[in-house]
Amino acid sequence: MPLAEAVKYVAAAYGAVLLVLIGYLIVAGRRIGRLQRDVRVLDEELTRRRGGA
Amino acid sequence: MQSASTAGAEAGARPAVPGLATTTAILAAAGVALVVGLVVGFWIAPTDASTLGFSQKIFYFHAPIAETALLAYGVAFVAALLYLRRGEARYDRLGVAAVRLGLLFSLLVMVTGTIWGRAAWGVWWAWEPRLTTFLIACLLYSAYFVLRGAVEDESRRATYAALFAIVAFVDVPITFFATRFLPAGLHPVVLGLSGSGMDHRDLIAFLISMAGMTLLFVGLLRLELGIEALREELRELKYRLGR
Repeated sequence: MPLAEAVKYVAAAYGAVLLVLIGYLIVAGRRIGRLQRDVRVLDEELTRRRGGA
Repeated sequence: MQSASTAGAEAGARPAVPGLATTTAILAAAGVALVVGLVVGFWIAPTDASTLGFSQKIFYFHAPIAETALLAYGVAFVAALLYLRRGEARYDRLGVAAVRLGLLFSLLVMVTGTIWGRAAWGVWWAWEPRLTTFLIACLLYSAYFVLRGAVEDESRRATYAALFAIVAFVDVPITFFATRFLPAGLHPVVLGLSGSGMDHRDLIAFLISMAGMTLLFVGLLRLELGIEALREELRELKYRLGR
């Protein structure tokens, strides 16, 4: 296979790995952000209930 | 004792992800190792003299990703055994995180493998032993999540998932040894008893990438377990609020 064509395949393979890993980290970051927000909201509600009791 | 989330809420801060600093350090170390592996692979190791030519450079990520996927399924297998023996939920969480990452790495193997297959063999897919057994592993471990989604009771779900993870693991050694026992396939044996057959610079690049990919797996596994710990915290808070 000519070098120029092989370079395209190599770039595509490494690009795909980078893209999937970045995508995974973005999704993981969003999951963390959502969970942190939910935990904080419920935690504050629990604190309020304790204060009101 | 005060929970992490309670402490965080009282300080007006976000609830902490357990061990995030260490996880970040591991992921950074993984990134460094992977970049070094590529530098050695692309600039120091020689270009393959066989028909593979420059496309052989895909190997420095493809093979370590494949080994890491199998490692992840191995961790899920051990976690399943530990769950069945001890019944502790943390082993179920470890199993879920390991299988999720196993599937992530499997996806990467399939993507890099099909691209490399097209470049090296002229086809996107071939029904040869290594590819076929790897595809079976992907399908089996995808079914793991289908099974988990089908069982509502937490304890039963964890038990069934653990049993499934043990059965599914049967395919992992078959996949690993497929190139050794069925040499008619297109995949070469990378590391055999008689050595690797690779140029020592190729081998160094491969081993550095392998270390980087293993560190990446460990870092992501810790991240997944941190997420599971937050999820557990959320469940606990809901329970205390009567929801």
